[in-house]
Amino acid sequence: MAYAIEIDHLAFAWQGGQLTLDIPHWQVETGESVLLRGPSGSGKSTLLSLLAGINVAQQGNVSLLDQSLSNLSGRKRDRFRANHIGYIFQQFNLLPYLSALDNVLLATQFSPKRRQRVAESGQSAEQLAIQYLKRLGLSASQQQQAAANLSVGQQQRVAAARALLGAPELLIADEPTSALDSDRRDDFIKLLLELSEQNNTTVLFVTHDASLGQYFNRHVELSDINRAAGGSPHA
Amino acid sequence: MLKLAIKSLANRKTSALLTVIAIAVSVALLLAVERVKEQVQANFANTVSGTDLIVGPRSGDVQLLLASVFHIGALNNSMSWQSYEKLSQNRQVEWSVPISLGDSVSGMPVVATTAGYFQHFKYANQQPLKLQHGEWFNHSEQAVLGADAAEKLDFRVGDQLIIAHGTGGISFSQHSGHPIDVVGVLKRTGTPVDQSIYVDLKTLEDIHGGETASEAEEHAHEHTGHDEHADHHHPTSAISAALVGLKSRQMALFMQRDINTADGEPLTALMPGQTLQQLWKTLRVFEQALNGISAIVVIIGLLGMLTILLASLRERSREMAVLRAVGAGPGTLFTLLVTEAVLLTIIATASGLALLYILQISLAGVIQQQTGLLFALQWPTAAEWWRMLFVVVAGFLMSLVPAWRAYRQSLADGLTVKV
Amino acid sequence: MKYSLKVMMSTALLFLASQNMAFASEKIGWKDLVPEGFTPPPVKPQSYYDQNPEEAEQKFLDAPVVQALDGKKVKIPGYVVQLEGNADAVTEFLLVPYFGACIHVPPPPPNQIIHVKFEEGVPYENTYDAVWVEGTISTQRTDSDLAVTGYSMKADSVTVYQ
Repeated sequence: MAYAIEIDHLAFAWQGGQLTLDIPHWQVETGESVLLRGPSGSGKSTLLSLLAGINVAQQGNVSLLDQSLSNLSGRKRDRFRANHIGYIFQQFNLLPYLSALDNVLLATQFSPKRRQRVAESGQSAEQLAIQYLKRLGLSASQQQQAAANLSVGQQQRVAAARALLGAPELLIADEPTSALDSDRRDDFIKLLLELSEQNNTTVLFVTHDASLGQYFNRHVELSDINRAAGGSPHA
Repeated sequence: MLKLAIKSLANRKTSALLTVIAIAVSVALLLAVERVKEQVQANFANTVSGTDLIVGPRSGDVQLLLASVFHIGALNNSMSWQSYEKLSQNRQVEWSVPISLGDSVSGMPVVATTAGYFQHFKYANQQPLKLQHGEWFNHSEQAVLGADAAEKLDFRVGDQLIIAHGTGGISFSQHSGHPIDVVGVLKRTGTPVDQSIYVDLKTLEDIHGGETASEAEEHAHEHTGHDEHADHHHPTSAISAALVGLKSRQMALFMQRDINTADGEPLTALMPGQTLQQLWKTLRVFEQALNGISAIVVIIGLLGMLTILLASLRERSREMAVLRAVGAGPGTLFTLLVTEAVLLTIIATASGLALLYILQISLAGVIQQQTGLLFALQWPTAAEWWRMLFVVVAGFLMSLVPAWRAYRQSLADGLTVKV
Repeated sequence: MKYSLKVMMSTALLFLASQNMAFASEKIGWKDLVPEGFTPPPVKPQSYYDQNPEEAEQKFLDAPVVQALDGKKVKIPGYVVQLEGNADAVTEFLLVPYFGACIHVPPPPPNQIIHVKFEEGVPYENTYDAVWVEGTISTQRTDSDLAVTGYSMKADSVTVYQ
């Protein structure tokens, strides 16, 4: 398997609207870190929802890790996402009533594959989670805090830990640093990429900020790969 | 899933608590209606046994039964001794016991009767009366107390009591000139017998014959004729009612009609079993109405829960997106909401049951004092379990609405949710 | 060989059938409780009996029973008039042919009343309408003219009349 992501003749339009996505061809290699840039409303979120298996392309094919998502049922796509994809939102990544640690452990709750990989590591999920959190700069007391009581920066780090736990093959981050100030932003990205590399995780980092390109293997403009002009209703 | 549901509810403590309280109170009400009906029925049903007819002055069946056996309510007139004698001599009658009511001791009813009462009166399943202490009275100026009467009034064999006129707690007309000796205390029966004080028929006659010694002297020549006559022919001129046992139980229907249609003093004869049947039938209507109302109250409580869950969906759309991101399907979210609702309902139902027991324990004493009804403490009956199940199932069904909404919402929202 | 087998099987079936018939309850009606050919004395208007209760009683008691029914397993419908009961059910009752044996309607005579004992009890809800009573009926013999002959029954089951 050479390609973590492979897109072929993809066409997608939201209900009753113009084509949002028209991508003839795109590939991301295993282990690559890609920065995907595009202005707001250009269809970034739509593309991510297709990659995450939330929505299905009307035409064409989206394959992750050699698995075509178009062939899978909703349930199977949910399972696939749980097993193989770590997802980070721009903000509000966590369940406010769970502790930081419990939020991280959510990663394995719905994924047998991730549980398996954790078991293979020889440590318990909790131990691994604590290690990640520690590496990401959260103290022991902070790890036990309800997520609602953490700062935005801390919350994003917890989200990162959750995305990485159980070593999923693909990490998708949707503008994870847009809510952070510039100091924290650079640290966050560096840390995220470092930890991903350890597991040979492919990283797809979506943002509107072009200056971050320096950290990544590849910088892709959405307009380069997407022929369609229409935006998504969620823009 | 369960842990998630619990933590999720704990996060919304206030609204969850209010919901639980509302449902718990409604459940307590629903269970209370059933429990009260059961206990009242049990109490009443076990009060009289083996008596074929109760005969008294013309009145309603239920009124006569309640007054004569349960000491509830009062009879406005009386039955003459002649009628009673005629009745007791009827060839179909095996035994008969006269009773007279209307006086009391500190609110506990005094029943004036004969030795026949102790012989023939039975309760529950043909259980006879038994003495705990002492013996049954054998002449006037003697009394036998029911178990509760003895306890409440703190009387023992050998004590003396004063009978008061009327049935109120405090009477301003006491027969203090005639103190009565307590000669016996009955074993507990769990029926109105326990609250009663039994004296000879003649006792009441003596008491009402004259208030004080001087008054008695004054009216002596007036009453002499009467009293002599009374002593000679009958212990009293009128009674409240008579308990009758027949030689053949099949004759009860015939005798009832015979007495009801007889010439002479207008009387009412009732069959206690049949009258109780009628009573239950009447109460049934009330019972059903109460059941209907309390069921509606439960539904209202559950609707409150439904409202809170639905309202919370909007705030929780972000939560749903997060869960979807880690791989939870919309079906999982559906299950999560149902679990939260069912959990709330179960906690509320259990609380309602606990509340009912607390109320029962704290009010049992008062109820017994006021009405004589013993509300026994016992495990919930099958009927009560069914009601609790009904509530939980209703809660489950209600939860399908917000759960379905959450399902649809998360499908529509996907991962992109406006916060 | 086949023929004798057939004979044996039919004999066995007939035997079983007859046994079943002996154990099954016979459905009877209230008319069956009155001996055939019994002519009651001439009926006078009810008001006459109201005036002369002694005569009413005599007429009433003049109600012979059908001795042949003694010990039989029967099933008969009727209404429940409670004699004894507990918290939930009626355990001893008179079964009568019509509802409302009260002041306006003359009571049924002793051969139209069955004194039933049913320990298991009929739930009160079931007693407001007609019921089927199934059990062993027995008749009492008259020793003196004071005792009343009548029917009694030990019930095996009491079910709602459909």
